[in-house]
Formats: sequence, C-alpha cells, structure tokens
Amino acid sequence: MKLPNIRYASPASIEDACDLLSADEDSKIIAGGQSLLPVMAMRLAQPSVVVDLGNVPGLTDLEEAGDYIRFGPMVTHAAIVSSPAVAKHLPMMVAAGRHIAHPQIRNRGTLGGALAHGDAAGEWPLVLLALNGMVEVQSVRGRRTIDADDLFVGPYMTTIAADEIITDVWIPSHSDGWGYGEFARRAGDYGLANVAVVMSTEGSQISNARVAVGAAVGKIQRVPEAEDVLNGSELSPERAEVASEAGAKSLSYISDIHGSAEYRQGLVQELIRRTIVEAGART
Amino acid sequence: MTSSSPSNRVEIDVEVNGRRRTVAVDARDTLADHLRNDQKLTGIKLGCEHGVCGACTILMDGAAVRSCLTLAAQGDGRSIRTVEDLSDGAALSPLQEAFKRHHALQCGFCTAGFLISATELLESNPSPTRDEVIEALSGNLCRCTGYQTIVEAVLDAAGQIGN
Amino acid sequence: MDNPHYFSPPITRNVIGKRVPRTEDARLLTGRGKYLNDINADGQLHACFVRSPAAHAQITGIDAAAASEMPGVHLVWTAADIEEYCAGIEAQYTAEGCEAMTMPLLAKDVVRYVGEPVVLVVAESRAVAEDACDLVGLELEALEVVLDPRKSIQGGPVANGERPDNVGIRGRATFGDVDEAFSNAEHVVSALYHPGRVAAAPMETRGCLADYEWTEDRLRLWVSTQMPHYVKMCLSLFLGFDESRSEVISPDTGGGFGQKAHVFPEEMLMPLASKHLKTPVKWVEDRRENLLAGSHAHEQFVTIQYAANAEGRITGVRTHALVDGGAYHMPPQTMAVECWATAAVTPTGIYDIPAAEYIYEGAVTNKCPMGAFRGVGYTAGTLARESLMDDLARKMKMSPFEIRRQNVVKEFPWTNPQGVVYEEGSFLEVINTLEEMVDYPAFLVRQEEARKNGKYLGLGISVFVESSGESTGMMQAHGATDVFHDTATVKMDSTGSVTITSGLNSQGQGHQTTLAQVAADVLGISFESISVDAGTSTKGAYGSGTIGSRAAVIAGGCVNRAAYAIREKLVAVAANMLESSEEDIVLEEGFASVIGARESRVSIADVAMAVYWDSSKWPAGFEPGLEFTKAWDTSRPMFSNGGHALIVELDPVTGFVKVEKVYSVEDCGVIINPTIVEGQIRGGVIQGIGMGLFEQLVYDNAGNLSTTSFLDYQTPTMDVSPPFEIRHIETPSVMTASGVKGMGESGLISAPAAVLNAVNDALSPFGSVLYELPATPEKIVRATKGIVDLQGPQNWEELWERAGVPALDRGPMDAE
Repeated sequence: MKLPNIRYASPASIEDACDLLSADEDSKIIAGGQSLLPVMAMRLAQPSVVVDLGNVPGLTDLEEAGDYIRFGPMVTHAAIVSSPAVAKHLPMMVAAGRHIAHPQIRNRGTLGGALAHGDAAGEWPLVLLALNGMVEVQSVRGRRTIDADDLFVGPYMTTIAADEIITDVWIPSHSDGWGYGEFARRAGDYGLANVAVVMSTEGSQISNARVAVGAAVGKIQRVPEAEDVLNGSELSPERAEVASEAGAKSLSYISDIHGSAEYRQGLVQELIRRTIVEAGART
Repeated sequence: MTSSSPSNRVEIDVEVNGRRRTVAVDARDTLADHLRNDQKLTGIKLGCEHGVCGACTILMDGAAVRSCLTLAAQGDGRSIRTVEDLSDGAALSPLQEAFKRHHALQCGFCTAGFLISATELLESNPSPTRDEVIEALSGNLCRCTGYQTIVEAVLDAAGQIGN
Repeated sequence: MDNPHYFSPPITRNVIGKRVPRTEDARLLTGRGKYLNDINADGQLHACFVRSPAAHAQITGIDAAAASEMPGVHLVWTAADIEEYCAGIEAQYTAEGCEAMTMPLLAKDVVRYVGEPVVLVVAESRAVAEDACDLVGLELEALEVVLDPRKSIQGGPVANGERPDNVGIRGRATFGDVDEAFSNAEHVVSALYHPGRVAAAPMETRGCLADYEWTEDRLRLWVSTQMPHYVKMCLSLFLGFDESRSEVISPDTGGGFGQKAHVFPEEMLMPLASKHLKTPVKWVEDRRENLLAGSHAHEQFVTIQYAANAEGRITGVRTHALVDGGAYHMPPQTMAVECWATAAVTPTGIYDIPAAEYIYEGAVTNKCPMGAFRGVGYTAGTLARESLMDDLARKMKMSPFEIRRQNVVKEFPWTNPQGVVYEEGSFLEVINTLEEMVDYPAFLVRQEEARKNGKYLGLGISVFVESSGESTGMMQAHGATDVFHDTATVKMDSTGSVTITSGLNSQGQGHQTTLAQVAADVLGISFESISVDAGTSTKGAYGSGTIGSRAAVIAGGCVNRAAYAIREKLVAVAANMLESSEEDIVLEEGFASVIGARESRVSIADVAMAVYWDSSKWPAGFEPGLEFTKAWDTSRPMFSNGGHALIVELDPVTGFVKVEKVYSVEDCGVIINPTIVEGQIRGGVIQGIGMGLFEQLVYDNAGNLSTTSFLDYQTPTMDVSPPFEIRHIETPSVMTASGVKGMGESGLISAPAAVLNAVNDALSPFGSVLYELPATPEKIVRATKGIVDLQGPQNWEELWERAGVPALDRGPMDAE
C-alpha cells in the first residue's frame, strides 16, 4: 500500500500555505498525518500536492487567553493530554484525549488535523461541540471564525473550505459539570458510541446543558431532544433516563459490521444516561 | 527545510541513530520506506502500512511514532532512533535481555516495535505499573506470544518484578 | 510396521526438559532478523497484482495499454501470457471424495472471488507497480454470485464451473451401530455450530523473491513459507524448473500459522517473471491483499448430535461438517483441511463413545479459498463436541466437569470406533486438574454473588485431544494416503562440534534451540557446541512442512536417528581407545567413559579427531564418517491432549466480554523446552479468544470483503489479553525420542469452545445459548433479549442421503 505519486511542499508561513492550497484544488494540508496517510495508503485520497505545516512557526501554542484556552492547530494530542493548563481548565479534553488511538498516534496527531478531518468518531470534534468552542481559519480570501455548532455537517465533512487552514482553536475554559464517555472494545478503537455532556446547576436545577454524540451517528451532533429535557429541570437519575431515551430516539444511526443501528441506539441511550449522571456529579 | 514550491524530491537533514546526514527522498516515500530501503535499517518492519500494527515504530525526537504514518520528508531536522540503536553493539540491552529471558518474542517480527514503544515508556516512566505498561504497548500487535511475557519482560526491565 | 525410519533409538534426558533460552533471540532482538522483505537481489524489480473487484464475473476485456506504457513498468501479464507455461495448480487431497480443482495462476476468462489475481505488473518499484495497476482497465460482466455454502452444496447457481454441483469434497462413514444408539437413547442433544471465517493474519504478510540466473539455468526462490520443499517440487511439476538447479530459501519468517503452508499462484508467477525478464522479481503483499487473498480459515457449519443414556453416558455421535470452501481448493491442503479433519479425525474427542458416524462436505462459493490455520478442522470439531457437551450438561443438570468425567476415556491404550489406537493420554487427569485450578466451587459462589449485583460471570471449559506429530502413519490410519518425507542431517566436525540441518523450518517455534537440546542428549555433548540450521534452504535436509504440530516430533525424531548413527561411530572408536566393550561406553558431558570406571575416559572431541585423522584408533572394519542423514516417521497416529478453562465477565448493556483469566493444562508427552511450549499455548489461546470474540472476515451481499484492514479485522490486543496459569502433564509417547509429542495448535483447537462455553454460562440467567463465533457484543445483547440468530441443526437423514450422492464430473476450468 504505497502512497500515490504526490509532490511535497513545506511552506514557511501560513500565507504561503494558503497560496499553495489556492493554486491547486487537489492539494491538501498534512499536519500530523495520522489520518491523512492511511487514507492515502489505501488510495482513497490522492492529493496532487501535500502541504506540510510542520515548518510554519507559531502553530503549537497552547495558552490561557482570557476566558479561553487558545490552541495552535499543530498542538499534538499528547501535548494536550499532558498539559497542566488543559488539566485545570478543560479536564474533559484530558479524559477524551486518552481515548484517541494509542500513545504513538497521539505523539503525532494534531488538534487542527483532527478537527479538519471531521471524523464522526473523532474525540476532538465531539469535545469542541460539547464545550462550544470555535476555530479560526485562513485562506487567500482572508480569515473567519466558525463556531462548533456550525462546523460539523456530515461524515468527514466540515464547513471549512478546501483552501482554508485552521490557524487557531478557541475553547472556553470550563469549570462546570462535564462528562465524557466512549464504548469501545479494545483500547484505542474507534468508539461504537461517544458522548460528551456539559451542564451547570443552580441548586439542582440544570441549565446550559449541551449533549453531543459521535461515532454511532453519521455526524458529530448535539441532541436537542435530550438538552430540552434537562434544561430547567431538576437533576436526578430519572431525569437522566428520560433525557437519554428521548435523545436516543431522535437520532439516526449508522450501521456497519461493528454494530447495527439498533445496537448502536441501545449503546447511545445508555451512554447519554451515564454521561449526564457523570456531568451532574461534577457540578 | 522549508520549500514553498511543490516537488517530487525533497532534501532533508536527518539524524539517524546518532549519525547526521543530508539525503534526498521522494515526496511519496514514508519514513519507514526511507529508513528501510535507503538507510538499510531493516529492523523496522511493515506489518500493515496503515498505522495499526506498530511493527514500524521508531523514536523521533524521543517519542514513539509510526514510521509508516510519517512522510520521509517529515523526518527533516529530526533525531531518529531505531531498534538497531538499542544495544551497544557488543551486548543486548537490559530491556532486550529481559525479552529473551521471558520469551517475549517468537517469530520476532513485531519485536522491534515493542522494544521502541517500551523504550519510550521506560525513559519517561522508569517504574511503570502493569496497567501503564499495557496502556503504552496496546498499540503494538503481536500474533505469536499472547502478550503476557512481553508485559513481564518490560516490568522486569523496569525492576518491578523478578525473573 | 518395520521400516527402519519408524524406529526411535533411546535417549536420556538432560538438556531435554530444560528452559534453555533461545539461541534465535539475540539476532531478532537487535533488528538483525532477515525476513523476506529485508532481502534484496541486485537489479530486482517489484510485482503488484490487479485483483478482481467482483466476486463472480466474466472477463470481457483487459486494457493494459496505459499500464504497459508507464515509465518504469517492465512487464504486464494476463492469463493469456502465461498459458503456455502453466494453466494452474491442481489440488486434490487423498481423503475419499475429494474432487480435483485447479487454481489458475491468473484468472482466465472468469473471476471467482474478490481479490483473485487477474493481472501481474512488474515495475522498478512497488509504488510504480501499484500506480500501473491503477491504470489497468478490467471489463467484467457480472455472473451470479454464490455466497451461502448451505445453499450452494445443494446445487443451483455454479460458483466455479470446474465443479458443476459446487461440491469440492464429500464423504461419509459410519462405525459401530449408530442408528441403534440413537433409537435407544434416553436423551438426544443436537445443535448446529457456525465458527466464523477468520484469517491467520501473521504479522509478516506473504511474499517471495525469485532470482533466475539464465547463464546457469538456475533458480533461487526466497519465500516466506512453511513448506519450502513442497514449493520446490511445485516449481518442477508445474513450471518445469529442474529441482537439482532450484533452491528454495526460507528467510526468517514472521509467523505462518498455517496460512503459509500452501503454494500460492503468486509464488509460481515470480519465477516465471524472473525467467522471462532475466532479472530478480520480488513480491511482497500488503495487509489488504493478505486479508483479501491469503487463504481464509475455519468457517464451517457443523451439525452434531449425541445419543445418551439416562446417566448422561453418550452412546453415539453424529457429525456433519460443511466448510465454506471458497472458489478453489487451496493447494495442497484443499477444503479437506477443514471439513474432513473435523469429521474424520477424533470424531469422539476425549470420550469413550462406541459408535460414530460422520459426513464431510466442502461447498464451493465465490469467496477467497479456505486453507489451513492452526488447528485446521480440529478446531470446529472440538467446538462442536465441547459446546454440545455443555448443552448436555445443562440438560442433565450436571456440572461441565461431571458430564465429562462421566464420558471420558479412562484407560489406555484405547481404540476409537474407527479402529484408531490412542496409545496414551491423560484425559481424566486434565478434567480434574482444571476443576482444581479454577476452584470450581469457589467460582460458583462468586458467580452467584455477582449475579445479585447485576454482573454476569461465566466459566467455560474445553477438553481436547489433538492429532499431533502429523505423519504418514496418521494419514494412513485415517484413510488418506499422503506420505510425508522428512530427514535431518547431523554432522560432527573433527573438533567435536556439531551441525544439524533440519528439513523443517521455523516461523517462531524455536526449532533452532529445541533440536540442539535433542542432539545434546543423544551425543552427550554441550548444547553450546551444536549449531542448527532449521530448514533455511532446500539444499539441506528434506521436509514435508512445519504443520500439524509435527516439527519438534518429526525433526526431533530425524535428528535422534542421525545423531544416534554418529553416536554409534563414536562409541565404536571410544571403546577401542579405552579397551572396553561398546555396551560399557557412556557419552556424557563431553566425555566418553567406561561404566563403573569413570576415570577411564576420553573427550568426545578427541574421539571425533581420531575418527577423522587417526586410523590407529579405529577398530577393525571401521568405516569413518560422522555425517548422517536420516528420515523418521511416527508410523502411526500420535495424540496429545489437554484442556483450557476461561472465566469471563459479560456486560449485558454493551455485550462486551472480558476474559478474566485462562487456565491451561497441556500434555504433549515429554517436553523439550517448557518455556517454548508455554509460549505456544498462550499464543494459540489468544488466537482462540480472537476467533471467539473479536475476529471475523465479513463478506457483503455482493461478495465484497468488508474487512480489508486491521481497523476492521480486529485481532486481540494486549489490553484484552488475559493472564494465564499453566500446568503441564507429561505422559510420554511410546513411539518417539524421549517420549516427546507434538503441540502448538492446541490453543486454537481448544480455546474457541471454552470461550463459547464461558459466554453461554454467563448468559444462562437470560435463558439463551449462542452457537456462532465470534460471539460479538451485538449477538450477546440480542441473546440477553432472547434473540439467537442461528437456529437448529439440520435433519440428519437428509444430510446422510445427500452425502451418498457422488459429485458430478469435473467441468472445464474456464467454464461458468
């Protein structure tokens, strides 16, 4: 499974990288390569030019920026999972990041790469959506910001244009309740169902609930039917059950050799319930 | 080295097992293919070429990575160590001795990858628990041993258990 | 039988039995192993195949123009280009009822499974060869795809025109009064088991490097194989390469597990390409090819019935084994390697059942051909017998240990209904040892407590007997006529060191170490003074394959005889030098000495020196020479035995199963190297857990393989692999050097049944029983809701009658 015949460029700046993408519509960014290279090895993608961001300076920042944590796109999964700032302000990312594949993949894979890849079974897209983060992208046409709610539109499909490059990822610091869970048979497997939940409580009344699902469904998405059951109501195990049942019913599921739609629905329902309980316990 | 215009051949500056060289690679070469075919370091094995089996694992700037999921061009400016670098050329390293002692290899095809992954683990965590060993090494596949003796070899090398 | 090569000279055990560290390891640990892809020949080119994207289609056109014109491409071949050299590889097993089938080297006129090689491209690099393959246009006209073996075996649409009724093999036999047993039975239990389709998936894929030197008409073929001599013979029989000018070289091999015990079309094509191009040509498959077209394994539909009396004593067994054989016989094993092995070998397992009846059938389908994988048909047979035994236990309200004790063979030698003699065994001791190891009463308490807390534990056992040390004798006793030919050469140098060349190569089993242990004991010299070449070249000794848990036994037997011949020479000269009689000479610790007068001794090295260089030390009539090549065969069947117990925990919400621990008991006679034996047990059991829970090759309704990468074909990883507790029993064989028997396959023969039994035990509060492997999470969740998809055994009378119908005559190879 040798890689197809590509040309390689390693620009020194984001601007140069944007120019390269704009000049050839079949060119593609390579960040960590952990998603792109397998796809190329299987010849499911055959870009004409691979544009490596590895020599562009300043893309590996990880800093507290006001109410946010700002990440450069080339920050690796390993760096995120071991960052004290992330542990303090975005503990969900540490929990989620440990599910990503294996340490060897995490040493190379990047946040920007994972978000741009938009894999419905991906951990960072799910986390970004749950935590209401956003990305900034740049192209020859300028810069713009995309909120997580507007980013993921289908399997491996985002609203980032082919010639746009993620330059920054902003995630609001989170000190409220959160929960993250995956059902996977072996360490590092793509999840059969992934769920992320955040919520606040005043007393035991829930607000700001965001319930996000991945892996079992075709695209990373929030589950408004579950959120509506939670917001404004009292936190309780029964409420978690009602929310998870309503939420699970509202989704449409993928079906493949690892699990039928019916099986995945059962998993999602149980996982939403558990993750709501987990999030509630942390408020 | 940066290069703003796309090309089929890329010149890279790479240090491998302590030896620094400037070499030209094809844009489509993986680091695995370059190290095996150009630098003759055939200790690296190709078991799947899609990043799952771990037989191609090397150390890049001290971190264990899949060389089949790295472009040769991305080795530029990096310091790479392969399995050939683990012994001093006259004797097996303590980790290698522990593998032999515990029968942690049978056909040997996956072994280089395990040794490299275990080397990264022990360099960052000299006294790992059994669970930490398993977490660090679960990304390496073995079809022969059933894994138990590999875990024991790594724990032995870390001084956590006896022979 | 009294042929000399059935005789095993006596041997003491000093180094045999020791946990000698492997001499193979230092090379492999330092990255110095040289596997097929690490070997290069000057000027070599690289091969890649265009493989069929369709499961069954007529080839109406192949457009190779663009591929041929690509820079760096040296050769593009289709079936038309090689017809003059070789039409294909014919395979036909010598068991009764196996029909001949031919596997083409490249698909001619018809493609019959997704992944079948159609076009060969040779180019300056594998990457360019792959690029060129992408440019080849295949015009295909779809034919009806045949996928269900239970339907295809009944006729209907034809999967491969060579077998117009889709029957690759069919046979039946009955021993003892089976009908009487079933009509008088107090209890009859029956079931249909479906072990799924799995891949051996060695970490090293298949590959070969052919180097034909035209100036000498000489061919060298490096190949990652378990059968180097068989490959060499095929080079002669099918391609016309003279055996005396061919050499098959076995590099270090990264696992074989039976998948590499075949000869593949790719391995026949590279020599042809090399001869045509006058350059070396190398083929290394990638993982996708290995899963698509490297032989598949183990998938069968097995119907089994026990007739039992009121005490649960089984009086008769009926077994129907139907293998989903794929589109061709995989040479040389054929579909027989599954269905015939399941039905006709150990049909009564470890049980003293007086009557047995069996049917074996191989159905031709449009899938990758079925081949050998560790345990071959013994796996499905053990699965059926051991799982049905648990069904009977549940019905009789007996524990799985009790029901087995009720039925197990207790005295040896024992003759089974076929007249096959089991010389020795420890079946009952294994059952009792397992029960003790798991502490069954304590487990039951723990299981009950867990259930109260909504946790589901299960215990499953599988007690097996395994035909090991596979040999001519074994084949003939079971009605096949294969002859195995194996030799070893042992040579002692004038300075007393020894070189062994075995005809059997190694894929990780440590023969380089274990054969030296055997020779050290025969010759009384140190382990360190012995060097072993374990089948690295066909220039050396001869072998019939590292398969069938036979290598240690057979190679050890050959080494014993050859070393013993050297011993006789040494003893003759030593006796002369020490003025003693030959019977009083002892060879030990590097010295030849006189019994009762140990100070009267001479070093073996000095004796060797005398044999070579000092005729004054020779007795009268002495013929010098310390190099011998000897053959050996067991002459009759050999059986090892043992058992496994697994404890699992099942999560009813997700259906995930965690294997908590494995308990293993192994009796492979006298053990040469316990560490190596334990490694084989663990490796095989983990593959059994893979087959039981995780691994499945899946075809969709159009015959496309969905599982073409390690993302989808999921072998066990470290985090899901349990710890082991292993105990050894040593019941020495009466026929081998030092009592050694074979092992290696036992983990995969036995563990799948233990997995299924454990899962079913965990499911028992839900009232469901599973019959299919892998026991996937989804199947388990459905089972907790009372839904089990595979239903019911087939009607025996119908199966028996169908099996009496002879297969139709062979059709032409290119017809459909």
